[in-house]
Amino acid sequence: MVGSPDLAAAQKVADHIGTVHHQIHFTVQEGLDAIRDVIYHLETYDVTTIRASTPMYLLARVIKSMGVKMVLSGEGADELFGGYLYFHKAPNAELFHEETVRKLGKLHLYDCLRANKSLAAWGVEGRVPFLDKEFMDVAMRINPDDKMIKNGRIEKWVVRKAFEDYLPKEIVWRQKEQFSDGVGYSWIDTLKAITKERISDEELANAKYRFPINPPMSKEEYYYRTIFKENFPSDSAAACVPSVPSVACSTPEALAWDESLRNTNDPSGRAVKNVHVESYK
Amino acid sequence: MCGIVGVFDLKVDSQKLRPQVLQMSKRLRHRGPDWSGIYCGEKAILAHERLSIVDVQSGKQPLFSKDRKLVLAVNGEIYNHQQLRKNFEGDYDFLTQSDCEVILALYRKKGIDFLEDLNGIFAFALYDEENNTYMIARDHMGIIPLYMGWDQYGNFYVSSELKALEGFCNHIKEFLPGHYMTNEKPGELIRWYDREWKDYNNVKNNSTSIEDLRNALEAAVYRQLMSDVPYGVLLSGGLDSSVVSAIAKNTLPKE
Repeated sequence: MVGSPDLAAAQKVADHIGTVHHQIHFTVQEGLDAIRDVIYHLETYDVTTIRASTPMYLLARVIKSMGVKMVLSGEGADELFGGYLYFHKAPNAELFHEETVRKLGKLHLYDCLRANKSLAAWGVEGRVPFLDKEFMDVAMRINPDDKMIKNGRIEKWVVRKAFEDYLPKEIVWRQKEQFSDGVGYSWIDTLKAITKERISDEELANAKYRFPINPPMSKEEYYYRTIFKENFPSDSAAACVPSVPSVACSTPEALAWDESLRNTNDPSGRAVKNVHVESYK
Repeated sequence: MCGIVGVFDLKVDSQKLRPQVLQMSKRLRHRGPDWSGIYCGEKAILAHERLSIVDVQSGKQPLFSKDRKLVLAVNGEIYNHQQLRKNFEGDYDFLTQSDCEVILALYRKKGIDFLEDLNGIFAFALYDEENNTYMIARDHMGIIPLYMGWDQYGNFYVSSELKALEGFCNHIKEFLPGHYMTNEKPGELIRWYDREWKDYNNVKNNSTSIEDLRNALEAAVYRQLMSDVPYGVLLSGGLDSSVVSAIAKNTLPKE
């Protein structure tokens, strides 16, 4: 989206390393119009996945139109290295490590699914070097204590250190934008506003009668679920999709780390209080 | 990407089921718009929608062994296929340059016990016509999607996406990452990918080498750049995609 934080950063990287860079813009309305197709292709009603898949789905179409059939992508680094902002709250190296292992084990339901199906919708193949089998062994055998966010080290410090000579300083040491945030807050805020309008309090309160499997926990999820059910009416299709409380992509186990995590249910990185510079007040 | 649909343990006449499988496979054509292929045996059907990236000329699927007894439909890439092929010089008659064909060679040589040899992303279904046996497997992390299902007659299906099974199968489940399955216990997934690093006790005393980390990621990007068609890198401006872009750029010959 024009003016989003990621766009400027991407241009800076491209200029620095000297790649042929194409900026692709889309509007909130274009995203909204694509949601139905995104749910059909992604086969999910997970809120974070749909928010983040829509830009990727639109992007894939443009990529294909330029004659490109395969793209590399950065999925998996946040799971391997504890890059999500809520990892700031990890109490010790053992719990930090266990959360990375749990997150990796769930990737097939979230980011792997998103990357593969958003791109495959347009006949583009996604490859994910961070999840390369041999690389994963190296990354996961690092001492977990060295991945922790402490003593002035920000998240994914080891990766930043390893590649600091490859990239501009302000990129290497830039704080993580969770994809859903990086495309600009207006996208997410619009989704919340629109779904709040379309789904009544009554409907949400009685969600478990309409959707006995994984009843939607928010109006946004209810809205996505309705579209999902139109495409995939069977109960067993619904049961293939995960539905658990989460803050900024944490697992339920990690919610126990901190009081402030426990009392919200919002996948945006801004929901991690006092960590993101633009966190909710 | 490609798309696959496989049907095994056929309880009905395969020729009668064939049009339905074509219809199911068509629902995956967005994944593989370049070509379609189908094998229809008495006890199994394998359909494939192809996106050609490696060996555009001769890599169409399903792949066969030279005696046509082994049939293979794959969605995926085997990054270390060239290295693996070297072990078969003179031992196996490769018919294509496809990176996936090495799966057939490995199966011939080792039976089902070869998944850990592969470095790649994949979901595949392999049918052994001679013995009427089959094997289905998915990559270590689930980078490639796979689902399974049963229809009202008891035919067993696997498919790259849910949408091919919906309406045809009464019962659908995800085929879990890092698992495989054989005809011996249909529906029962067996874990093949497991790692000692899952246990904190096995890594808590390790030392950390930034240099090893850098080299390992560079090697991974290099491996994964295997392609016979134009490719790109998704660059969001975040750290992860920027690192991948920078390595890819460094790895490439100047053009």
